[in-house]
Amino acid sequence: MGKCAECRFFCNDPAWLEKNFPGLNVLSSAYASVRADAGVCRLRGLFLPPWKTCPDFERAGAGGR
Amino acid sequence: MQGGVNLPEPNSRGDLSPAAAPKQSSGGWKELYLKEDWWAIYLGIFIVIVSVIAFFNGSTVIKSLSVNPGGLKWATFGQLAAHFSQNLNLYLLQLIAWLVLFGVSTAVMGIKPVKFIPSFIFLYILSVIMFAVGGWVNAQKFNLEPPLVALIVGLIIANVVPLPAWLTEGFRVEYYIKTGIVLLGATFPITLVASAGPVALLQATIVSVCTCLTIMYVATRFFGLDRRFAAVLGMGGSVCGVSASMAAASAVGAKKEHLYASVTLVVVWALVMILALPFVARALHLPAGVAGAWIGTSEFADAAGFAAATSYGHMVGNENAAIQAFTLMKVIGRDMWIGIWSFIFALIACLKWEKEECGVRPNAMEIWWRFPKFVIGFFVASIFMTAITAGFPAAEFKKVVQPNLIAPISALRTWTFIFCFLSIGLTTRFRELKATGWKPFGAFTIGVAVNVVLGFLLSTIAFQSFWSKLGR
Repeated sequence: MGKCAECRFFCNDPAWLEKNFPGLNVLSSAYASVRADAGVCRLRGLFLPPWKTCPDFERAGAGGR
Repeated sequence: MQGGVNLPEPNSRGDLSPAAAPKQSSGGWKELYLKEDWWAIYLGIFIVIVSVIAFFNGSTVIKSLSVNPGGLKWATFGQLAAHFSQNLNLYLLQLIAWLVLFGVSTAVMGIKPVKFIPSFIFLYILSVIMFAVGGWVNAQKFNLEPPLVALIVGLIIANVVPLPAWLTEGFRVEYYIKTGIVLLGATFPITLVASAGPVALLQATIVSVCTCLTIMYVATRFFGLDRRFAAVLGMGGSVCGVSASMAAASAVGAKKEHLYASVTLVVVWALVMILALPFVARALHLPAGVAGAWIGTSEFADAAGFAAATSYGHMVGNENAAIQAFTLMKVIGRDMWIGIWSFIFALIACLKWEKEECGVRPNAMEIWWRFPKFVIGFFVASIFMTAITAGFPAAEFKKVVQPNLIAPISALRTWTFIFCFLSIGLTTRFRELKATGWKPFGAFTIGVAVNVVLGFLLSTIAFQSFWSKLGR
């Protein structure tokens, strides 16, 4: 089963995270080691590590939903 | 739930366009140039090495480049103007040096130089003004502590003046404080870390565990909040603020709304603490080391805590003791252990909360992946400088090493701290913070109360004799 890191719904770009989590860069940073590569599943609205899996995986670059 | 992911219903709102969501993989070697922690180490150690080389070659270049008006004690604008007039070339060279160091590194991390450069120039000019305010002969009489002035000025600008979004790219709070902490390591004897670290770790662990358990218990039993949400609030309030909230959210698979709420609560309470703790400590006449330790367990983030500790240390004329105690308590006692806290919560979420459907188990490597790498730079700088200066007799250290090697590094550290404190204010736009609801606010606030009171009792009673000896 594909991992979140390769799923088209998973977003962990630091600039995107800082823009979409207001206040995150006041006392932290999406460029910090502590975040590792965690990001948001836009399908489920969850904050997840990149190695998670789920049956709704769609490889990035696959057709639209 | 299947495959290790808690599956609420799909979100039909939001951007689910066919295009892939923006991603960045910083795993493996990529971390070494994509994460600001590593860049803080490179910049900090580079500055330390150049300073040492300059010192042993009898060069005053670093001492000159560390110029600032903070120690002027100017009484008239004429005196201030004369200082800038005489040193304009040094300020320009310093600005260029900072721009090269921070500009190149942030560009590599993905921040566009065309946005970073004007933003940083704006930040630098404001920082010069903050130093100048601190250098006024009557600054202390009117409680104009530079960190607090920087914070308030930043807050006013961010919330009253409509700054364009592109002008904010240079306000990198965490990057500046991490670089500052590496530089702080260079003036922090490793022997002190070895002797005081265990006490700091003991006190910090007692407070963190009690606070986290309090928040989680109150959040789930009194307020009926989701246990994942409770974990995010718990780690945010007890370990390391927003950074810990992020780590916890990822570890337990929390909803992004949980992280929104925790960010808001941490930011609001951290700002309250920056302003309140120094003045409460002063009213109670706490020794600088004791106050620094108390701030170290009460504050949520390094940036906010250094603002409070630096302010108080300056108020009572012993900045060194306050900053040392804070660093021991927060960086050594709390920051270093984020990875372990995250891994423990990930295991609990997998083995207990989602027992039958865990799927992919957490990897113990998470402890390293989430380790705040800038702490390595702090230790390296401390060990390096302790070794370099060990051979100097005390009198020569005080007369030669202190003013020509330690003081310039401290001055450059103070610059990074001021960049950080201004950036805290400049990035705090209250109208953009997400609402939290009264239940999370209640749970978090009860945790704050436990945190502050327990930390106070341990710092002022249980370990008072230890902390009060710092900086003597």
